[in-house]
Amino acid sequence: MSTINKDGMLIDKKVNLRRFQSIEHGVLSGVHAIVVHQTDSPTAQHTFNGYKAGGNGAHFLIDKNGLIYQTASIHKRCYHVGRLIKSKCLTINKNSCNSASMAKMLAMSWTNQIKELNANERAKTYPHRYPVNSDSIGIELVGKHINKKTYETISAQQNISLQYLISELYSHFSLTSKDVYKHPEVSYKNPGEASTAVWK
Amino acid sequence: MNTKLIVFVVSLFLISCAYTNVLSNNITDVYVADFGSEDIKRCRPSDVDLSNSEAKEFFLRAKNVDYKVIHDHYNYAPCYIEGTLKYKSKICEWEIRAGATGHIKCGEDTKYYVCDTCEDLFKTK
Repeated sequence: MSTINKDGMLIDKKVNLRRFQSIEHGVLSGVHAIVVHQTDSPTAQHTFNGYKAGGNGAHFLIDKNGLIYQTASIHKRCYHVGRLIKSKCLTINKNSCNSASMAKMLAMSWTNQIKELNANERAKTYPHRYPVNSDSIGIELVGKHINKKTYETISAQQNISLQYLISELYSHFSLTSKDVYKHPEVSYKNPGEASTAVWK
Repeated sequence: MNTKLIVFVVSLFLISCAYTNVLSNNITDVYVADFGSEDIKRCRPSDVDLSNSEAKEFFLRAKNVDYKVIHDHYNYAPCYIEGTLKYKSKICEWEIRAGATGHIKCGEDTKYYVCDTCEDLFKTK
């Protein structure tokens, strides 16, 4: 069983600590969910090089050989979800949406619709909406974008490490598999991203 | 000193003009051939209703970026228009998505584009 130290780093023999404060943006006050991503980079080093410059990033990175790195403190917020989140009620349970206001939003142009849906969703609390940067941990899996529907297949070693890491995070934050999402479920991203990631 | 500054500014302007013209001098015969949507109830033809000349305008105004920029910073729209164009006399395929992202594929080479100044092209007519 791993522990979390005062700096928000996961102390575990399988986790390599490689913190980039450049991708941390303020305090992460609570963890209610996990979002699984793919990097669109060919190697872990490409991602580390990007992280040195700052900007977007996630808390953990799993290399193709299954090595797990922690790249940001879990007490800190990372920009990994994106600005606009999708509507959870529309995807999971349409009956729980406010049908009148939803119909009005869905009649809008796509660009206006996604902005309105985001505003509507952000007024809700998790789990009634999808996770956002300020209540979730991001896990990146190294892998390149291939085309408009496909990313590299997640390796067996990556999926084994993903399962291990997620299981540890379940214990620390009292989460279940219902709290783990692939990035394109949560925001408007290429549907191939992390599509071959698996966990229980 | 002032002369040096003027030469520098003029050089920057000329470089900028040359860069802008990389596509405009080389893209011709831009034709919209089809519309596609992975979610037709939410992303419709009116969301990406560009004419041939507007599609050309999109690529002229757009920035050529690594796909990583789209991956990190742009929304993936479920609908798009697609078609053909000539780039340096070669016939290429292109796609423009409702989220103002696109690509041009010439043979095996795919270049990706984003346009932050194209809102007018996507306005519902």
